[in-house]
Amino acid sequence: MRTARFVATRFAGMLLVLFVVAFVTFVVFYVLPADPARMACGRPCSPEGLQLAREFMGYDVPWYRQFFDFLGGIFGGRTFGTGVAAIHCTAPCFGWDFQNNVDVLSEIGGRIEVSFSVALGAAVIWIVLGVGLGVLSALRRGTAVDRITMATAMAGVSMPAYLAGMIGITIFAFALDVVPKSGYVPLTENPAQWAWHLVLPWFVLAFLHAAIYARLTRGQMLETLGEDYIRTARAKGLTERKVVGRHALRNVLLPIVTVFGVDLGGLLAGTVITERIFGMAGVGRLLVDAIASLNLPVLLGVTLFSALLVTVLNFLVDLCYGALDPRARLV
Amino acid sequence: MVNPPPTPTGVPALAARSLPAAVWRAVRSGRWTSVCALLIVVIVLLAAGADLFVLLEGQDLVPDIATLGPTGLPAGALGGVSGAHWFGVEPLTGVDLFALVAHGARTSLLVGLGATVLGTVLGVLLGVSAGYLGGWWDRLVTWTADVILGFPYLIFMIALGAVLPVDFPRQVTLIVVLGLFGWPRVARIVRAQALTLAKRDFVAAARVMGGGPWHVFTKELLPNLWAPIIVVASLSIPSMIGNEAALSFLGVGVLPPTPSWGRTISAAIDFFETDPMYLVFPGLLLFLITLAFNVVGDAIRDTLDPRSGSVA
Repeated sequence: MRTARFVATRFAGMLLVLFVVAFVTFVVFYVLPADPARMACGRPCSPEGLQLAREFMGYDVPWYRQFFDFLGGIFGGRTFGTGVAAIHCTAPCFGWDFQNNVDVLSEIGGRIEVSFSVALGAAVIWIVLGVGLGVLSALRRGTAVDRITMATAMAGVSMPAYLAGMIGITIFAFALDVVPKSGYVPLTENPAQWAWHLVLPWFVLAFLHAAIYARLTRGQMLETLGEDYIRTARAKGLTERKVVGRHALRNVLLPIVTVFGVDLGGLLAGTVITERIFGMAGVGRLLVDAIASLNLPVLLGVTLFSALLVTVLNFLVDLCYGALDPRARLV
Repeated sequence: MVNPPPTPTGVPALAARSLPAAVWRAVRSGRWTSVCALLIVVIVLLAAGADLFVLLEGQDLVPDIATLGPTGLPAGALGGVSGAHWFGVEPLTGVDLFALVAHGARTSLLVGLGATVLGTVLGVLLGVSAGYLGGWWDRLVTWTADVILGFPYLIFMIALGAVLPVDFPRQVTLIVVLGLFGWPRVARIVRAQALTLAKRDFVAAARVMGGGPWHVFTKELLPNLWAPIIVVASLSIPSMIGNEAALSFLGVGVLPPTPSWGRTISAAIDFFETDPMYLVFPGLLLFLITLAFNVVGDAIRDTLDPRSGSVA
């Protein structure tokens, strides 16, 4: 019962966040002077033509009507224009890309596999690597292992993603020639090639983020190991392995989960840069291309879609938090 | 804060109360930290005196194809590094790389520091008011901060950078946008501190004696908040510098002709196989300034707030 209420409250909170984020994003993009109708209208653009384009794209009504049209599109789909030229965008409709004449969501959908492959693989590696190295440093505190790990972590925190990517490509793709320089192979086509093409981006992204987790884990582990309940566990005669692995680690993971939730947004941005360096056509590339052609519906659609994704993932992280820490469920 | 009381004898030096003294001690706490602090000073001087140093080198930001070889790549070894061009020249244009990097340092530091100041001021005002006043305002601020922290703000900034008007000074826009997305980190920490401070007797006493919220904020709360503020601000500078460079790298940050490390690095990617030296200096400086600020910020945190430090 209590768990159900916890989940329900968090779910309601998530919906509210989504609504506010959509609203703010929409207003910000609306007040900016970019005018997709004018761009679609072509040159020379007659006032009548512009008016027609505006009506077709749904830009002729006040901004709050546009906002609700957009929201309505997500839930029930929407139709642009009337008659034979009408375009129907089925629900959930995140907007229509008038430049390429396709709906934004299917553009995202066609590329999401690439971004997910990059992001998820990297996340798994960095959590395992970061937490592992952090625990190791904490247990071997003051030794060479500890100092080298922490120095590397500091370098990782300070390294911009694209620089780390370039260095990675130089060493492993050009000099040693052990991994491909760029490109992407779908998982369904050839799993081995898929992983092979992704190894470098994974480790580059993981190197940058693992650093933060290693530092955090180390500090948290050192603090936890000084707690009374750890002394009790040791006094009971538990093996050191059980004390660290069971009793201490559970407490250490709490802040890690929190940081991971915050990092999800950054991870998406990280894939934008990674895709640019490694020449992959993911959602990040879609965004960068949309910038170049000032494709407003795509910009808005991708921004809102990533906000949706991050909010939903954060909701899941919250649930994980509740599972890890019974106290959190009381809120 | 102006006149720190003399440290009583017998108390270890760690208990010094003066903030500048504590920061100075943090900077001198280790060899690495001192080196990094020196590095910050050098790069700040480079940025501040960019025009002077470039004049000293005898170059400017004007293209000069005389320095290029027949293929458009820099003439001479190591990307054209020589006595006349300390960092070499840019391929295709022949712009002096030292001039480009020195002026890029100015952009980076300006945006990084400006955004940090804006984010910190906003964060302190919102965080203290939330922690001190409580109630619905507290809930609103905390909730907004949580939303912004979880929001893919870099994606938002990328999209925003694409549609913002070009004629407005982009550095100012970047400072405002980065600052607006940067306050929640500060506000969270400051709020937690203000929450405990608000319950202390001296705050209650000030209130009983008729002190208004502004008086309590400036005279009672703020002096006790400087330590966490300095810590969080010093650690936010490197991330702001990194964000500016990332946005410029993607072409939505600082616009040409203003030099920016991020944009130079982005351009260097295309010459990666033919002229790798193009990437070395802007990349190295961006890495070094971020590293230096991180190391010094860490040392300050360990000194001012020994409990939360990584050195336990």
